[in-house]
Amino acid sequence: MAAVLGISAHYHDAAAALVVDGEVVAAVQEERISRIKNDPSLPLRAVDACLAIAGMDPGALDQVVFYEQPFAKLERVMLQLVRTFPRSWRQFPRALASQLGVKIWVLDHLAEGIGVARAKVRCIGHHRSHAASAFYTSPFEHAAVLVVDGVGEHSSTSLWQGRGTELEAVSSIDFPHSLGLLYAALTAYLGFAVNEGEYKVMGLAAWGQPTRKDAFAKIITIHNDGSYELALEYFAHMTDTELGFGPVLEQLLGPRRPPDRPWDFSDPQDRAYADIAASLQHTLEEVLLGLARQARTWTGAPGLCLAGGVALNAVANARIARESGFESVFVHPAAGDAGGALGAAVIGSLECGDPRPPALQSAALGPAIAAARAYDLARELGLKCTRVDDPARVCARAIAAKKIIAYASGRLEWGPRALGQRSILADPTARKTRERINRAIKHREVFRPFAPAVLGEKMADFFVGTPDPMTPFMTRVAEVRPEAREQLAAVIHEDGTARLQTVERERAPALHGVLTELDKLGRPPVVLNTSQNGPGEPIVAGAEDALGFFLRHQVDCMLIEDLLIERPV
Amino acid sequence: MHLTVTLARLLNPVVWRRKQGVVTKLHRFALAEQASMVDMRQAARLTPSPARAAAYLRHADDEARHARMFARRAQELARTYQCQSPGDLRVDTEHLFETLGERDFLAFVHYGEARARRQFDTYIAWFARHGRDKDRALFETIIQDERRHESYTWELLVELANGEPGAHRAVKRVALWEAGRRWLRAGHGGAQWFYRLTTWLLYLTLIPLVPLVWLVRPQLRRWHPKPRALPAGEVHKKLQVQ
Repeated sequence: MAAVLGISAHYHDAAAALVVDGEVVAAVQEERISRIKNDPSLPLRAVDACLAIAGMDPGALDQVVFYEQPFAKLERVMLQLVRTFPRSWRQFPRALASQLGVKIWVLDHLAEGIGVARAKVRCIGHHRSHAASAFYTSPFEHAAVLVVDGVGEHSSTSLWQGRGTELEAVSSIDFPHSLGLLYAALTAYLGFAVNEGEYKVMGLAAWGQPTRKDAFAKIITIHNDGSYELALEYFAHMTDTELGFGPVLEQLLGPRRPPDRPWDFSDPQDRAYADIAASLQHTLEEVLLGLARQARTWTGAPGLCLAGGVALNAVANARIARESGFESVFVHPAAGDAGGALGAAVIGSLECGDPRPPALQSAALGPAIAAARAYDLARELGLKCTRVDDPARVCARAIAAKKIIAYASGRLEWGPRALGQRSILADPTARKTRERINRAIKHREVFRPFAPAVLGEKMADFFVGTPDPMTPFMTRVAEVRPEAREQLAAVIHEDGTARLQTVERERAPALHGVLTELDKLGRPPVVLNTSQNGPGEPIVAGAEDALGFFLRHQVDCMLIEDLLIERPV
Repeated sequence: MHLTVTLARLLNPVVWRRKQGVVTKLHRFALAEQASMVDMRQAARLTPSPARAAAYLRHADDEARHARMFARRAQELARTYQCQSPGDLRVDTEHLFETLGERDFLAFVHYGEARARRQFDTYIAWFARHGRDKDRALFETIIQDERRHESYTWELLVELANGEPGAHRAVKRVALWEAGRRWLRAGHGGAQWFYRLTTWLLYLTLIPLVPLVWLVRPQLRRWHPKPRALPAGEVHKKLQVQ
């Protein structure tokens, strides 16, 4: 029996996860506590939060496992700098400072920062951590595991086979050929911030047609064995960590889009950029399908697990589930680098002889919100607040009355999606709601959709298909039934799909209560569910963040557990 | 006259006349306000007092609004002047509350707000003299909040430092701390140039390694290692067994 802490850090989205006696006890992203979006720094605040949840001291930890091998990464970086000589001259000083100044000392820094003996701190491979995060939290006994991200130590894509507690490496594709970096380069080309704007590219794709498939065929070659190769002359990620694409890409696709220009689809230029996004999405799906089919051929497994940043592409995930031939597909809710912390912790735990954790039921793995502190704070702020007997009913009635409600209940979510613990909830029927949320809070581009949460047992009434291992975590899209489109006007995307969350009582009891109450009121048991944060901010975590959000953004009311805070009319 | 005011007066004609300079300066203000917002939110989370947490949250709200106002103006001017866009509001913070403790944190915020107020006063006067009403109005709006922040942080500081003498001592302490930090930052800037030059020299020594790496560690392509594919029938059988 052991307590193992997993850590991811130093690239983007640092996190900590704690596994005790084979059970996932806590998992927290550093950004939620530090309030810096995608905070990459050593996640010592997240570690404190995990230990506080478990009621443990650092001294009680048996192991701390870092999700990456710093010296293997240093080797790759140095090899790449030499291979790309002399084009890497600008990157050389920065890479050296970051690797030799900080990253290779990470295990020592962790031991010192957490306060554990250095002998207890170790590391495992980046892709192994990702693969473990997906497989060991999945409902599968035997599965192929596909990890697709920017780059780990050497690999950018890797295939694993999981069976019980075993996780075996099958094959991999190495940097600089990388789907994650292809997507990042095009994200930058389309004028979005890398590591943040990838969702926007996915949303934009639905507004275009894949008319530039020929151009993408020049950028990436897909082989019969599912592997792929980038035509490196179009890219700069080997020598420039910031932009990722070179002038040759602009010669092929046209000039890059200026970052701050508002989107206008009546402008042919913006329609052309949407077509590029659609072509990228199409190409990505084709490559992922090829990889998934190859994974099935090589492993013969009935299930597929996906991890790595690319696995957050909900549109591609839906297509993989439909067309790859696997019986079932699972995507870890924190498929990006944060998830690696959980994978590292589980591997450490298994190596200590603990059992494999049960399948992940809920992403609510962070600290709980303190309603008492929220009450004190709200009173100090002079806000009108009352304790209510039945928060689910109050919430449902507010939604039915077309109010926009900031909803905070229970433990904070793990991963980029708000799944009803720190959400903004609203009526899904009117497009006006979407516009209001955008105007008052989110300030999103017009092409970015909002997502619905639906009672699991009623999914088939509104969407094509039934709940599967992905739908509770909002990691795939589903087609909205034609007859339900009017009822879900605020959450339906341009292509007729929605990135839905199915809600079951055992997994998300509070949100299930709200949806059940809506059903009782004769309304569709569906809500618009978007994350409780403003642009560029992390999702709220504690009572102070929630109240700060309420002050800053024009939601109609806020529910923190049973505390109702209303805005004066 | 305060050094900040003298410097601001001296530099105003240089800073506010250059088109790219104006955009960059306003964007830097936006970044500073955004970073301050994060600091104030952290303070609200960490202070044990709900009353002070509420004050910090209100302050954070103001800073977020200021950041948006500065960023919006920077973008507007970048479009007007057709110069480089200032980019996103990505922030970093030094976690000042955790580093300094609540009393010195308050002293630091008070000190910073007072300096900003003095600096903004000179900008307002300069914009008024040069007929730049929009920029003057921007700073005039924000300076109201800066005055309020300066005054409430002083009141809280006096309370936490058990009186005005303690508060003055705290302000002096953080002023010294900040001067030390500035000195280190200036040193860091200089050291960076030296570091770059030496690493570029080191870079040249990599030349003999280039052919060696290409020979010994060639870039791998496609799958490796290549696993044995299961025959189609075996895949089907395996699926049935499951």
